[in-house]
Amino acid sequence: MNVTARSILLVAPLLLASCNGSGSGQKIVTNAMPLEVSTAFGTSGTVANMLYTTLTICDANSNCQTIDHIQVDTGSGGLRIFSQALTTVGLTQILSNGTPLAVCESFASGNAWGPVQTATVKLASEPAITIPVQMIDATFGAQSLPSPCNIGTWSSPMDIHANGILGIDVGRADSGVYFTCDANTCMESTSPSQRVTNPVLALPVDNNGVIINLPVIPDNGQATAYGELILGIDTTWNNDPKKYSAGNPIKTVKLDAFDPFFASTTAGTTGSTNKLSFSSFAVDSGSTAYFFSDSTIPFCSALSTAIGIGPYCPGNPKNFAVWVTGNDANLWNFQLWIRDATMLTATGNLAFNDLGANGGMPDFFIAGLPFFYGKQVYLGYATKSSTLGDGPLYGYALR
Amino acid sequence: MLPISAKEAEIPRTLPARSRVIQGVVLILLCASAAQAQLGQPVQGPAQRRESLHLEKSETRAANGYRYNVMSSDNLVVKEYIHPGTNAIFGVTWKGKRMPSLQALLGFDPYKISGPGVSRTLHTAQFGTDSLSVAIVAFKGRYEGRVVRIDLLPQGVSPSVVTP
Repeated sequence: MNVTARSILLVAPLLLASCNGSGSGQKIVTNAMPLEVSTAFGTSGTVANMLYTTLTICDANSNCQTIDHIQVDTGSGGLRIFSQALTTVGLTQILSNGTPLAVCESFASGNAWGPVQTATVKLASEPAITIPVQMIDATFGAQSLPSPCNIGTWSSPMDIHANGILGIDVGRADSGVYFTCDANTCMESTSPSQRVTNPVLALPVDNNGVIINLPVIPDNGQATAYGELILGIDTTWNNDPKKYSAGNPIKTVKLDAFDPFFASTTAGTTGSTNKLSFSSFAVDSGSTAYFFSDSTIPFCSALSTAIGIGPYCPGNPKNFAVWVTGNDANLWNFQLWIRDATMLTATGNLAFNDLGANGGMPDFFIAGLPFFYGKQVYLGYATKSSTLGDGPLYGYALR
Repeated sequence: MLPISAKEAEIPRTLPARSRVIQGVVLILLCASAAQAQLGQPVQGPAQRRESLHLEKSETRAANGYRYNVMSSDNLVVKEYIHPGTNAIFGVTWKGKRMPSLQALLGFDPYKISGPGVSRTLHTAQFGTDSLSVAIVAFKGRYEGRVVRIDLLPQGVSPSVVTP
């Protein structure tokens, strides 16, 4: 999409607001964050299906910095920013019992280690919120980092191809491991003074959930993709699900408050009676592909074939039907395509709705970013309610 | 994360690159053996191993062509799969509410593995070499992993028996 087209997309809500304005006042959009699937750090850092947003951080002295290429992640909670990305603001260290507080947050690709600091954060045009955030800084604290952050420690934005992570999950309990660190050692803290949590929960009004809205893209991908992250569900004039989905039905499923996965999943090649069962299904914008194990889909390489993990290259596209059951017994039934990963990546495009891989975990079906294209995906937060129901819940409507 | 470049999706089969990967894994595993006995090494007694991992319970279960130790505490379950002939550990899995110490569990650092068999995203990552398959899933409150030494599998035993 060229700059002009992107600009039209980004201002479209404002134009609509003008059209919707009644009487003397225009309705202003305050709760729409930009989303983009695009390059991060030049061609060397180019990775497909990375979903980014932009936000602003300020320190206690009102020095502010706008930071782009923050990865939007529905699988974690909290704002985490690499120290290298913060150049003009100095955040205030949070103490726990008089000692600097740090956190180790484990991801599959590595561990985020660093101090917990106070930041004033501006999401879209919402009121600024002052919250604990994690500064990702492998040099913080003791020379020998505590487990599990003693290995796989992220040290630069290139490690994850993002300047940070905006974790907006449905609100399960924080699972970071906290430490208090003096000059020589870090001790685990089971009751830290503060925790890093989803910033959306700290908003005064638009805090009961979010909507991720990404466009329909072609089968063989698109160079880039742009959309929006709407804060709140049915909290203001522009996020009433019925109006926002333009009348398309919204299918919701409830989750367990303590488990990030849906109740059950089956998937099968369309037209086949053979169905695969997966005990753990997750919707995850932080995963770049559909990850599931199906021994009938060819891999892209002999190495992957030998060890049973890696991208899928089916030759001819494969169509799957997926049935997902929520904790409320509601059912999702959606279609997906898996196309040849080698062919797709050779296009040079960055946005794909049909990348698939075997993640090596037979029980898991992870609906990564390909799932989000052409949909509005609703996340209703735990302990909150909306017209979609009590959270935690997921919903989607086709665009 | 899934790579954008075609060269990473298509695995290069040139001998030097492959040799470097194998060499790297051998070095990692040699370093591991100097530290603790884990994947690829003769198994320790379940009680000794349980204590070294700070777990509370352990038991050994028999299966067709192999046996496995199950060690657990409230927040973590670890399984070690054992070759009946060599007593070598050919598979390790974990499932828990927080990430365990992978260095202690596996005896090596999987994050140091590089090459065409590596794919990383935030919540699912794979680290593969010619003889080793490492799969990690990490969501808030749910951490699971599965590691298999393909070259150490007992005859007739499928890697699919190794499951968290």
